Amino acid sequence: MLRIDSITAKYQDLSAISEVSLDVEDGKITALIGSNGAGKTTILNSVSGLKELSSGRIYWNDRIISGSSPDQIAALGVIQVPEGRKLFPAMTVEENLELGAYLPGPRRDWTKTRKRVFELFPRLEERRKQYTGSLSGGEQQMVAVGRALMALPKLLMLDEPSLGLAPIVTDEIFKIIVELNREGLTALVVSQEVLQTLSISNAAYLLENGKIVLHGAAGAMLADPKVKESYLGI
Amino acid sequence: MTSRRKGFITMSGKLLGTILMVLLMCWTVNAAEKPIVIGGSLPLTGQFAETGQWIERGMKFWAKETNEKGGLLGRPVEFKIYDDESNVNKAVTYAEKAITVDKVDLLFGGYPGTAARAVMPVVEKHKFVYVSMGGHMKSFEQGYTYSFGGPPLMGEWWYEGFFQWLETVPADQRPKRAAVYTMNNPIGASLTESIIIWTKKLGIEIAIDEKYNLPLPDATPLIVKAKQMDCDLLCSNGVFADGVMTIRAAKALGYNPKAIVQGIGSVVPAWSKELGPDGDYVFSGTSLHDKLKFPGNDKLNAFVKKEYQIDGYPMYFGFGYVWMQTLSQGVEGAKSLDQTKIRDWLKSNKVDTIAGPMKFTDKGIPDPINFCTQVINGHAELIWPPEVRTANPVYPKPAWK
Amino acid sequence: MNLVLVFQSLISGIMMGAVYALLGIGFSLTWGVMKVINVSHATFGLIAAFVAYTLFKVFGMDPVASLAVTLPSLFGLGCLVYWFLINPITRAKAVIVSSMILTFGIAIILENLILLVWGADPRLLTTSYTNKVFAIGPLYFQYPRVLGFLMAVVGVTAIQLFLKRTLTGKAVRAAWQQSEASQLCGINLKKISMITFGLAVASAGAGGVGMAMLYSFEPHSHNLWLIYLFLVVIVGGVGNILGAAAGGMLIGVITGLSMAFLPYQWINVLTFGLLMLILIFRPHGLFRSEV
Repeated sequence: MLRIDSITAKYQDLSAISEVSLDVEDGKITALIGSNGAGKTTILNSVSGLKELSSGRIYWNDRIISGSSPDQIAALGVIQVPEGRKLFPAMTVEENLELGAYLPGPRRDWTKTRKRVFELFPRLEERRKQYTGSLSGGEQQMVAVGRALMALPKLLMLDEPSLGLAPIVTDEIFKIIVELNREGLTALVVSQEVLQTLSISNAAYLLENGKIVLHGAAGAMLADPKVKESYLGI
Repeated sequence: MTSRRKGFITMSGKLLGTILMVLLMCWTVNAAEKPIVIGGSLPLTGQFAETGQWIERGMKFWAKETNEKGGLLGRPVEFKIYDDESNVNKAVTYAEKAITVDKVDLLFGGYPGTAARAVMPVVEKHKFVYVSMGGHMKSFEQGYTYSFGGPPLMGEWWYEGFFQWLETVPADQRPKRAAVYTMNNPIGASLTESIIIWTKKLGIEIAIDEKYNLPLPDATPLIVKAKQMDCDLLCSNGVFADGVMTIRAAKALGYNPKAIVQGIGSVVPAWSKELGPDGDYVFSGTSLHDKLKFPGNDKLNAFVKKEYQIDGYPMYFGFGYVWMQTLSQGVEGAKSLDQTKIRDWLKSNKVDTIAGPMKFTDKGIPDPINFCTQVINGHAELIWPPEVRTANPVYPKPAWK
Repeated sequence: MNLVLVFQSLISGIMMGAVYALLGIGFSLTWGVMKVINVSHATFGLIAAFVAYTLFKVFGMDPVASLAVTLPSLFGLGCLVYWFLINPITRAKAVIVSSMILTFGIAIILENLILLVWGADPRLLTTSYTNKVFAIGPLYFQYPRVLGFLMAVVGVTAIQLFLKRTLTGKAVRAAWQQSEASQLCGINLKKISMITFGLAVASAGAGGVGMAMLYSFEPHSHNLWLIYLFLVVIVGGVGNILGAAAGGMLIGVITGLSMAFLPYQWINVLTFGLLMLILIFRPHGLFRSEV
């Protein structure tokens, strides 16, 4: 499991997140919710090794991973689907997927994994030879998720998977996250879509101005008056 | 104060005292025999590095010889040489620096012609004698009084020897049509002058007259054209890089003119070393040659043989030496380091050099010196005028092997 | 019209342009992929030329065969240079400018090294086939040029296949297109950049030997070659291998045609005039910038 222990990260002396602690339990979907600019992406990038910490530690299965490089962390199966997809635009769907399985472990059986991804997203198989720069937003998100799955993740971290997508597509993406979780995948979902995210999650954390202000079981969070008022508009 | 520190201070004091004494000794020795410092710059790196380094070696050989003989005016000589990186602007800057900052006693001559030309007005301003190659006639037509070509490497004279010799070839055996390819710069332009005059005189038609910019990207079209136009005289007025390309293209395309004359490309040792037999039979000119019989040449040849295992000194080694020879004879003649006195002596007396005796005109140049050379068996042989001839010319040029 | 002259100039020009392209692809690659303008690119090529010269003179080794020695060595050297010199500056804000300054320094050091080892004399690579030709009708094909052309075809194809077909090559492209996401895929940027740089430097070696078959060379020749590099990349588009290849050929065609039709003095005016026009109207090159 992933354990974030009191981490602080700064951008030009301004704290983006301060003393954030968070646990992601095996086999569970954990939600990290909060408004735009609360520091959610910073947390994910800290886990992935893209963002340097000023203090605190991050553990993966009791091993310290903070301070490791992004490729070392990816090699442990801690995989991120970044915000805004960040695909390789001048490469085909296939090539994007292949690069998802870049590391030696996932590389071994990558064509098998790719078959599985195509089963999950049949649209991608149809468009396998197409450059990802020419795909629709929904298709691009599918490639992004597919590319992450190619790495055979043990922990999948999704950063705003529904941002800018039509509701139908959002539903499809969330459905697939649930399906994968049922097969045993651990997930950390970061989203502003509070209601939908909480409804598929087991546990949840609420982040405000770089600090965790509330956490608990997802159901309990849905019932919390503060969450209701600020994020669900009820 | 601990004893150790006291010891340290005494030791420092002793050391300082010793250094001061040594310095003082040096100073007194210097006052007795302060060397004559000769400053300036050479292209020791960059485009002209190869020739620049040979000039430096020639100069240093002169200095060694002079110091062994007891120096100049009884004082040892030493050089302060800057590397101008083959950059004309830097050559000018260093000449200024040598005169005004380093306050050198004498200035040595520069290379190449473009640098020498740019330094000439500077030495005129500071009234410093400057013996160099000059490059082409225009440099000596600006009214400068302190600059000398001693001897110059005069583009306008370059082919005089060749054409004087060609004139002795029976008219029906001379080439009929010339292809003239010239690098597009002042040196190239100066080379064409004698070609224009002499071809008219000998009734040779100039069928192609083209200029190209350096670097020449490809010599193939040049040769195709010359071949198509039936040119049996090829004048390749360039430097090494374009010269060898022209030769190679001529061989590859089977172009066999009666004679090939080359600008300054074939005078460097690399010509025969790199081209091998393909570099043979090329005519060129020179104002200095290792096989001249004037006194001193044998000494230079012996030195390069011992030091660099070369038969016959490279031309620019000789130039580095001969310019210093001219300058030092001026100094000894004037019995002074006064630049104006040196100049006046040089203008009114004769110097004896490895390039022969020279008497300078008001322009600072001797009477035209024009030896014709031909590369035969990898050696640049003298073929004209007859009194210096070291080998019989090979004409017409044999076909490519 | 003088057809023989036109076609002979064109053939000769295209083969020459192909060698420029071979020299240029690596330059284009490092510029495009890691925003490093490697001013010392041609200097590495020049080293390969000098090594080929020595191996030929001493052991009679064919210059093309000498690449079996020089390419791996240059690859290693390129990797080391990247690891210890280039990588530390890649985090600077103005990578392009600082990389130019740094590699300019490398070029000067290498030039002086060449000067020290080989001296200042100009060299010519003269093999048994240097002056050999074969003729098709009235047109001559010079062996060294044909060989240079073939080397360029092989070199460009090899790099193109590496980038498009191998996983490492795809990782290079990925790192350029989306560096953050490529790291999330487990790609080690430093290692991939090092491989790219090593590869680029090795390709410069092939280009340098190609140049040595066409021209004489001296320790300072790289300065001249650098001009061709910029020409190829600006015409072909930064980071575009096929574009660089096309750029080199185009320069060859223009040189060939202008030598057939115009006074030779105009060649440089024409080539660099074209360069300016491209910079004005197609600042990203004639072809799409893409790895």
